[in-house]
Amino acid sequence: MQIGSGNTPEVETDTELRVLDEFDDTYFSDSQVALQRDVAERKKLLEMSERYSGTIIALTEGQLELWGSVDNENAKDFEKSLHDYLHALEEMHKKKIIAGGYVDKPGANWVVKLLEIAGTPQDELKNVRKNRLLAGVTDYWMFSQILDEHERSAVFALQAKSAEKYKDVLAIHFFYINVGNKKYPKIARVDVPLWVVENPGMLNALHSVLVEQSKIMGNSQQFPYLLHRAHEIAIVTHREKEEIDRLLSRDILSRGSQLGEKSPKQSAKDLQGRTQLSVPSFGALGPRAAGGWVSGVWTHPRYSH
Amino acid sequence: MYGLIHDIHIDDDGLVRQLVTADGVSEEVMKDNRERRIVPVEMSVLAVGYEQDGKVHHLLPPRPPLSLDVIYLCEDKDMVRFTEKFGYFRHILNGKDVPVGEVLAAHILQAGKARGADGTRWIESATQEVITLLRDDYPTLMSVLGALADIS
Repeated sequence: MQIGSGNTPEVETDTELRVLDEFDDTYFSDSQVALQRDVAERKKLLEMSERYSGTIIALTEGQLELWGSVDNENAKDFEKSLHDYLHALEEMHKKKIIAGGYVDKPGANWVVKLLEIAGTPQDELKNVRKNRLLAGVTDYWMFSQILDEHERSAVFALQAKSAEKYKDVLAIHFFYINVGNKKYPKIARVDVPLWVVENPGMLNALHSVLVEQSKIMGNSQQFPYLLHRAHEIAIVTHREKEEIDRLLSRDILSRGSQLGEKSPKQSAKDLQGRTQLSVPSFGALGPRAAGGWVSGVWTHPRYSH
Repeated sequence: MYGLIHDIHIDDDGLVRQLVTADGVSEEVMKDNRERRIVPVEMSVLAVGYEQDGKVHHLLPPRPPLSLDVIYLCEDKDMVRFTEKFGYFRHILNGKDVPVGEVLAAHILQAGKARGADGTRWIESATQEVITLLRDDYPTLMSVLGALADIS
């Protein structure tokens, strides 16, 4: 979207067909899909940025750090993906693109933990996780009390083992922002690399755009409009998935091939409808009771609901 | 297959309802919603006949449209060919949940225009046919004639 241009925003989607044989295992997990997607998003944003001039902001939903480092399933693919991801970020830095990750309703409490560590005497630090000074307090709550409408917090540097690979200008930082107002705050966390933090113009531009984008969504559900649209376009609904499965099945069968069978468990789950159960009128359930035994429910011979 | 579109509606769009609560909608957002978003439009089509081997039949089609069949507007020449006779009027008059008077009036106006100079004569013949078909249904006849009056 070119803000203020009056031009129709552009939409680009990339589809990649992956064959299961490419992978060592016979199962392609959700976390593997997410990893591939996160890397592809950054690469795509970099590619699209080539067509534009001026101030360019590349925003993704979710943390800036590539997720998957603690996921054993992905361990084999993760290093390669991280290498590609870091390369994409480096290229963005070279092109002076403002990169950011938007986390809606953040659950991490890094600032609260920082305050707990700062408030704990040196000799008690080893127990800081057990003896929490601010137990029950969250970053979200804290900043909802502090930040006024559209204000942002100070910028913090992320200190985590998993983020050590993001070195120098790629080092991950974050700030909190209130895209709502004082009475109804909506706190989000924005992850940014160091090169954005060190450039006040970039930081302010990102802040400003996030406020404007969230305002587009109206008064009750402030969330960056472009991220919502990206999600709307990308999502594959259950119904669409079923339709694709049907199309594939028809094509496979028409070529004389065979389809795998549903498991008996899944077949039972897919059964439609439910029979009306009769309420037992008296006595214990059991085949010897006077009413007899009907579909596992005892019914009185003269009375049923 | 030939049919008449008699109902176009747009299902509830939650995003648009939310956007209008904001102070002003920018041109980029408006264009995005008009040109880029798939709007949940539903159209109802009343089948009135079909063509097979070059011959037009004013009977109900032998099968319904297949999934993903393309629907497109008739050109004038197709309209003229299909409406040479009035046998298909009964499908419109018998249509359930169809605003009979409005659909017939709109169709007669459109078919008349497709005929150019010969349009007026065709409209008169079509109106006469409607009167004949509805001679035993006075309320519907009055409703249809009221709608037809608006196009004359």
